Amino acid sequence: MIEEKENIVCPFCGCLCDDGVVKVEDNKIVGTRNLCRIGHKKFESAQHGRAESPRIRKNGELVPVTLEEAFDKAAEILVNAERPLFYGWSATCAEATQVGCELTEACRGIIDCTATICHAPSIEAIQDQGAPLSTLGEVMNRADLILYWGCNPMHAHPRHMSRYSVYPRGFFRKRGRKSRTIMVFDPRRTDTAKLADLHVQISPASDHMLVHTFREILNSYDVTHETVAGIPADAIRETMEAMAQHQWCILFFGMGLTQQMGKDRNIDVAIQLMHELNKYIGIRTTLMPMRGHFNVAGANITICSETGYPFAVDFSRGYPRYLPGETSAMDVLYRGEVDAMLNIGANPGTSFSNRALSHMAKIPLINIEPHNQQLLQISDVVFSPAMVGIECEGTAYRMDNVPIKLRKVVEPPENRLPDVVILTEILKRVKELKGKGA
Amino acid sequence: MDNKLYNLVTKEEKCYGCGNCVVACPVNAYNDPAVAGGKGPEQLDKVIMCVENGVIKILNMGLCKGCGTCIEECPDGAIGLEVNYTT
Amino acid sequence: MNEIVLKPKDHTRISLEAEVITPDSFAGKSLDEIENMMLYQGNRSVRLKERFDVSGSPCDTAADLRIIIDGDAPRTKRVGEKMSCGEIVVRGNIDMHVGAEMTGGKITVEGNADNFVGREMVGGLIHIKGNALDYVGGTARGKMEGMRGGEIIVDGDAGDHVGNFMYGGVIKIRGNVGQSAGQHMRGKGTIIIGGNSWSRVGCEAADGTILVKGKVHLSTASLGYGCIGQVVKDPELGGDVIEGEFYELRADMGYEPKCGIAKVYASVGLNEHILPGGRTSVPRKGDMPVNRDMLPYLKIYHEEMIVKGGKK
Ligand code: SF4
Ligand code: SF4
Repeated sequence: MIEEKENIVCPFCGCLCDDGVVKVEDNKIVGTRNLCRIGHKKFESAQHGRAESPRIRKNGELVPVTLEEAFDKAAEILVNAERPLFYGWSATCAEATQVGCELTEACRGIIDCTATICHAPSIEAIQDQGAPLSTLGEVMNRADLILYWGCNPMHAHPRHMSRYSVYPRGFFRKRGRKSRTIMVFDPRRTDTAKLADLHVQISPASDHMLVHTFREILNSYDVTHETVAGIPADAIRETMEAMAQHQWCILFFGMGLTQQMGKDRNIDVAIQLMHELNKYIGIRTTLMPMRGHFNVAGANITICSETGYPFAVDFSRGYPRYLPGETSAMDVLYRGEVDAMLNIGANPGTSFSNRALSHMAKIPLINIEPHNQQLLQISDVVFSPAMVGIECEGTAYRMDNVPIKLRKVVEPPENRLPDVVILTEILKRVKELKGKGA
Repeated sequence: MDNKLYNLVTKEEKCYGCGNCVVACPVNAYNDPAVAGGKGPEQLDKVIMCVENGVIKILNMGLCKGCGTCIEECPDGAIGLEVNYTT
Repeated sequence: MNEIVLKPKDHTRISLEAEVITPDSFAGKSLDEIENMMLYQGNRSVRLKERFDVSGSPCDTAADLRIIIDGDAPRTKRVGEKMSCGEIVVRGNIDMHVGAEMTGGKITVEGNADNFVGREMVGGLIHIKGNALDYVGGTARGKMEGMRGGEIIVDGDAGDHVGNFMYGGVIKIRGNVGQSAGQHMRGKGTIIIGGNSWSRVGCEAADGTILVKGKVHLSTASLGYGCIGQVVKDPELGGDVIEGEFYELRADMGYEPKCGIAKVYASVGLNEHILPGGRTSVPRKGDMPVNRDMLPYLKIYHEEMIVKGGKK
């Protein structure tokens, strides 16, 4: 009997689509409806290729052990470390991050989430400038000008346009797509750009210059150069004029803005442009980072509410300190300072630099990850947990910082505990060991 | 159904499952308020197409009037409109 | 002047946090007391004598004290933090936050320095004879006030964000600087750059002055795209008269809260490309300033890693 479970939240990307239908037969996921191709794949492949759990590296081989032994070993590694790093938190639930913060404080380590290599510049810029934000619901009901800058939702967040921003009919935008103008700023002719009313094909790494030129026009300065960022000055003026015809504008930006030259400074100047659009023209303008993992926004929010800082929090002296560049995961790994690491809900194997990875290969590494991933080859303790949003419940934050409760669809395989339980067990043992030492 | 003037053809291997076509389609939006607001269809017998298993699936071809909105909103050409002049 | 010499012992990978190494905290202490001062390393603490051989003649007044770190200390952070008088000499490389929040006195680093040299400093003098990395005279994240007084001199190159959120004081870089020099300058600070400056000079600056003797890479539209002010001869900046002809440019088009207009001086000879109608140039490889691997000590760690790397 195929059972259709409705209103399932997709735990893949920052859109957190909450209208999925998952078909389950005998505790097996056999199909989905409404979810995009990536979301479908997440559910479909959730039950295949799972890592064996738990395992410890002995004589260079990962050998299966009991859960107790693995917990003990993990706690021992963390207690003996001088500068442990707790990294990841983006593909797990907010509850687990909460325990993670407590664990970091108990071990006096560093906690950092995957934002450190994606949208941390956005957060830093918001700290410097403040930011006008909104929720996706507001975008759906109000936005008539949508700017996608340096992001390609058609590939990375496939349902973003149809579910939240462009196509749905909203209260003030009754005709859906026809009530809205879409502009895409991207050096490439992406699939998103193909759907846009205007594609501004800027030359690479010159976004900052273009945003600045918009600001100049708004501030009634002359654009004296003929082309800026590969775009003729007249076209820039016309674009600005076209933008000014609208009432409510949202800027969605992605890695194209945050991870190119200048990083947070690009967002910085974009926020400044938003302020000026609000101030001089009266278009209500907001902006929203296109968060990648389903709970990377939640990792920032949870770490922030627990420690006071959004990422890269260093507890080495007992109290939280924060300074990206000094306490962020990449920097401490790059300098070879970390002497033990716990990875959860992330895959640094594909996203970290070679130098950081080569250091990770030399230190004890605890890996909490449901599937066989690259990092297993250098991990020393491996837990394969139940997958949040598929095999256990949890809270995640959508890209507009709205918390959404993830649902349980199927029973987890034997011996697979939720992340929260694994971390709580490790925390319990760390506290015991610390208590003994004192 | 086959002898209709307009026929939707899909290429599943190209589809992202984004649902642009499903939500943009005026027939779907008219028949199912959930679709009008961007959600996946709730009344499957009343909509033309939906996304199933991550790719587009035509459910009720008979409802299609051939306006072509869906094919305009697909960036990849995964959905197309066929016109049967012969019948 | 009394001297206390700290000779670094073996290097560790995990940085020491040595904010106690200041004349202020050494003053009035015996050698024995100094040896037993606490440094922090990771989540542990160590005594100063475990990492440094201490010798010299202590004294009671901080102003008469010179601390010499006699050798390379590439993993010792926060040396001279909050110092108010006296002198520190580092005969080698030093890690981050050297002279952070200092209010007076003098620090000389004969090698290179890592990020955040003179972060939020208020007074005194820091002289880096090698290169310095990012955020020279800048702020810690989330703070809106950088350097407010004093002077930083870097003989080599400096990294990105020199004088970020600067409110006052003088920064002199003899070599090239990275991007965003003087970004968010908010007060009457002065930055003098001897070499070239990579993109976005003075972006979003509200006040202050930046002078570039070399080339200004035009990656921000506000420079030159807007108004070319005038050509100034031999401007007087930071107490010196700087010879040559310079374009006087507006650094940014005004900023909230509006408190002035920041100026950028760019040498006439090398900067035709910023004139109206000039081509917007993309920085060429040879012109680019420092990157991380430039620092010799970082290279050492890098090589060590390659040699010892591989399977554990
Ligand atoms: S857009 Fe994102 S959240 Fe929505 S179904 Fe696709 S992968 Fe899942
Ligand atoms: S057919 Fe095109 S528009 Fe429809 S879901 Fe597939 S990719 Fe999206």
